[in-house]
Amino acid sequence: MSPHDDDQDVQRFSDDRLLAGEPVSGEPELVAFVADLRAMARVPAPAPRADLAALLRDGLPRTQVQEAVAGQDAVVVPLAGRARRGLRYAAGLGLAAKLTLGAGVAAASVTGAATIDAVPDVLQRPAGALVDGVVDLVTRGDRQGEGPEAPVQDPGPEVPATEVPEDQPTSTPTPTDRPGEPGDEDGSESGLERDLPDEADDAAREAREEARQRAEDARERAEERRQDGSEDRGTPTDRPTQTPRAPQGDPGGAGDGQGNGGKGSGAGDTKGSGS
Amino acid sequence: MRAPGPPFRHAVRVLEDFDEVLARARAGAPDAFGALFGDLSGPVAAYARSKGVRDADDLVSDVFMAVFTTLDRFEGGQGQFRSWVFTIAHRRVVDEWRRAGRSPAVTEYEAEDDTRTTPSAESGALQRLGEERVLELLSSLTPEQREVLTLRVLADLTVEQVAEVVGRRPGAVKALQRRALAAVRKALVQEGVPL
Repeated sequence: MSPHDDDQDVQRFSDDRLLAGEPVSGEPELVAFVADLRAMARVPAPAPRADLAALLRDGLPRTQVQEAVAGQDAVVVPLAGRARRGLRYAAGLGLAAKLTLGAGVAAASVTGAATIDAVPDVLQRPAGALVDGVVDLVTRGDRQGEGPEAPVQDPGPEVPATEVPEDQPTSTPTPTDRPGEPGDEDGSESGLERDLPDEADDAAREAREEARQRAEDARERAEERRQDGSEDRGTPTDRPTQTPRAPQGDPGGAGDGQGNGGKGSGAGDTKGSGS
Repeated sequence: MRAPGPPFRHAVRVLEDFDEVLARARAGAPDAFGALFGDLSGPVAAYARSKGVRDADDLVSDVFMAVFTTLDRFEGGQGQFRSWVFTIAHRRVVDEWRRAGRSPAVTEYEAEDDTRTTPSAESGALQRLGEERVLELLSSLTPEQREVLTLRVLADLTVEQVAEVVGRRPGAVKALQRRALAAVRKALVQEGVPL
């Protein structure tokens, strides 16, 4: 230790004593300064605001404390009750159910893009073709898998019970979000486990049913449109109308039904229409 | 835990039965809230004034509303509780600066605006003179030095606790504390006017 370090240690020691309010020789001004600074805190307590005064007078019920704590964490942006319930429900699903639900939502979105009239044709046609292909695959898979439950979830007795709780705690936001959940009282999550397979199946079945319904509609509309186009021009066009070279390179719709889109455009259409 | 010392030595009183008071406050007991408020509201108000907060009383109410409604989150003893309360106060002060769109500065002390009451007229007059002078000296420090000095003295926090509150390393806090005292010492010697 150098003399300089030694001096610094002595200085720190005296600083600490000074700040702790102990008398330090040779520093009367600083001692007085610290004492006056400390005296600033020894004034009577400031008058509390009305809300704090009420709390100091009446106290705070236990439930109110919990609500206030939960509120500060959770209510950043207020959600509608239905949306909150939906989020809570989705958070409570198992991994397989989440995947299925997500796939259903994605399919419904693409189907929506294919069927809503407000969406331009440029987007509608590829989306419609994509939906056709995907729905064909899914429905074929369903038929082979004997019912809609098969690809979604396997709630059979072979599944180890420990798999669900591993996924469950991370996806459940707070314990207070699910009051009165059966099976929670003893600390186990058996209640949740019991609820999950049915809920997951229902959600998956609904999502898939909706996607299939929309796809059917989309296919019918596409078919109608195709027929209309045949009546108008003799053959449907594969190309977006904005393509500047369309009149020269594809005068009659070269990829029509043959699997050849001509310069790569309309590949989705040929797949869809060829199936 | 620091043993209770003479009343003039520490800005913050030490509650003998802190654990019991805290447990009752957690249960929502108003007398426990009152005890905690009475113990720390003065230092928090002084801290806010030293940081240039205009409406220090309002900030104190904000701080204690936050403290009392989130007591379930706190774990620890009296020292940690003090540190936690001043962490909240520190953040509220920073929020206040941000709202006002300015950097930390000490508001110029106006004796006419000081509406606080004190036990006696004589001691009040003496104390006001002292506080005015102290605030002047604090305004000559950098914001970081002032922060460390007020938390060490008014909140009675250790170097490590101050480091946690302001988000710096203890070594940096020690250095700031040393420079702050050196600056005050220099100002006092230059003026040659005792407090």
